[in-house]
Amino acid sequence: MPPSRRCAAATGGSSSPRPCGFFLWYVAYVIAATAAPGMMARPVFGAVNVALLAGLGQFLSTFLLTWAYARHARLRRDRAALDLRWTVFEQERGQERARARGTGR
Amino acid sequence: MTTEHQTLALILFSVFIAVTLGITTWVSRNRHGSAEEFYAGGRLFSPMENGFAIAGDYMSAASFLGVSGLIALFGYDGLLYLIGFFVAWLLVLFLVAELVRNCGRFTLADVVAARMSERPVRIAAGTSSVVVSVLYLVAQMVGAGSLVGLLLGDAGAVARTLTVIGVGALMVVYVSFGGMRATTWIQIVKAVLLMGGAIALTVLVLLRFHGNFDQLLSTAADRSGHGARFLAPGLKYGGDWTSRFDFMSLGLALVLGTAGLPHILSRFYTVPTARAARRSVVWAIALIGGFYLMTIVLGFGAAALLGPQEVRASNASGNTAVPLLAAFLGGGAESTGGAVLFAFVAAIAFATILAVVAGITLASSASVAHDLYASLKRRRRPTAQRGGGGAGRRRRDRGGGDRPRAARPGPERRLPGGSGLRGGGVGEPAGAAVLAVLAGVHHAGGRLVGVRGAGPGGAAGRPVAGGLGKSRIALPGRGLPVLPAPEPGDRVRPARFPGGLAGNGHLRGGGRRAQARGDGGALADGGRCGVIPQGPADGTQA
Repeated sequence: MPPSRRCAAATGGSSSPRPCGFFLWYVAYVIAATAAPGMMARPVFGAVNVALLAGLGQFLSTFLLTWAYARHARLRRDRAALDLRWTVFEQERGQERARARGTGR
Repeated sequence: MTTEHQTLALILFSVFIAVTLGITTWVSRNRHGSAEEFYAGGRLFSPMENGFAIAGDYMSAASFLGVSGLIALFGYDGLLYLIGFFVAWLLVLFLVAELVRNCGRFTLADVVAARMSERPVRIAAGTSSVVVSVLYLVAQMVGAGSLVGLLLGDAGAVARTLTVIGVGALMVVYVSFGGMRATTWIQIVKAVLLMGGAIALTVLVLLRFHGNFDQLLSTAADRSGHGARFLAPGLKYGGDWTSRFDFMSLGLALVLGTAGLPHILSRFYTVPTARAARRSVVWAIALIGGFYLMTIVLGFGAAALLGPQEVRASNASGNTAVPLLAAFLGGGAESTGGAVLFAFVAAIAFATILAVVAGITLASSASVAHDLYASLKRRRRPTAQRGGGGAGRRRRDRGGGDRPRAARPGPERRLPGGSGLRGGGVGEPAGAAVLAVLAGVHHAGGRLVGVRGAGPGGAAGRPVAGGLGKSRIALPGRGLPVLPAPEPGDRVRPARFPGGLAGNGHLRGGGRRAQARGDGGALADGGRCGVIPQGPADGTQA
């Protein structure tokens, strides 16, 4: 597979569902907090209630998604991106050389 | 407020100012005077340094003082702000950081102008940057004024004005002489101080409760007079459906707006590659997350140890909760320990304000000089010539069909109504400072849409208008249902768009030739903006 395809393939699978996912989770949280305060206020243990757990859950999910994304990018995309970069550089150099040869004639 | 507090705090303020001036001088010794250096610090910051700087830029007085105060007064509802502010960073990480670093040179306008008619887009984007910056600046200045007012007591009215003028003058000095390098280092120093201060206070609070977070919460709830309702959402925003919608819209704006903030965006250009930009955001997320968790503890701690009534008595918006908490933890307002801790926290808050103001000033100066001035000065030129505007050797996208002229964002460019900016008179307990920040964030949300929606069929004017529209709706907002208008430009691009745009992936579409730029190292992750597939092949063999 040429580098560009590898890059595209590596990316396409991951970036689309993930942004939607966290956003929906966040929106669900906001809606629950505003529209269902009774449910959110139910205590889970001691003074900690559902709302606090949900909030902390948002923090946790954000940290996890960040870590996962960075890891994914490091493992999958970076090498392909570097390959692509070299390919493009080579192409450009080739083109420039061809152009120079052409004008030099 | 004893003279002891005041003197000590003023001494610490001056120390910080001296340190920052020192940094500025040190940085400006080796200046080459290039645009790269002024706007982007030479692009040589490491991800960790840049991460600290981004976090420093973001952790402003609004979060440190304002939101903790909100939590101290209203309990859980304040937490919702923090969550919105924090989750927003995922959007930045996934959708913005690398893209912006690939496409632009110094400002957001570079990114958007890469695909559309340059001049109107630059003007639109530049104007919106300035508007957002002004809103944000006002919030910070208000904070600086209140802080000084707190310190100097009632004699403070003149001192407040002098402070604002002084801070403004100082910023001009920093930015003109130091450029991005100086402001970045100032941000880094301030971020370290802020984290250090927050950690110290959090540890003290937890020690008070012997590590028992549960007990902290119940004490806070009891002391508030609302009992368990203090810990549940709805105390402030749960009144009627209007304020609930208000709040939902706020939640959306918080998440969408961060990615459009100009001083945050400009920090993606201070690193050499897109990969470094991504790593800086990861660092920033770690720092900001930790800081916000601590802010939660401090807010509830203030409620538990001081009680919301006392906090409210000192400042109706709760902005002084953390300094008062510091005084209390040091042993009470009258003791030396209390005075010292109070002075430190006040100085850190002041440093925060200074640093953020510097960052915003630089970002808006970049917009004015790089986008607005360059565009307005230039007459229409043939597309072959790409002057000023940071185009470098960018190639126009001619392959992909029509690019309609960006619509002139005409009357929508009115500045949004100032109800959020009447100093404190909004009658909104969140405080003018937080509200103005939010207005800026609302507006910035429109700019994010501009980034994603740029492309054939998306006019530049609409995202800006949308952004201004949002802030226009939001500001009169108390009592109006505030739902952000659906953005026309906000479409998900299909996967294979010939010669044109990319979708959500960073590396979509085979064989795009990335823009080569003179600064080197800018070609990363394949590049995907404004690229023409030239010649027989797209460069790909697929």
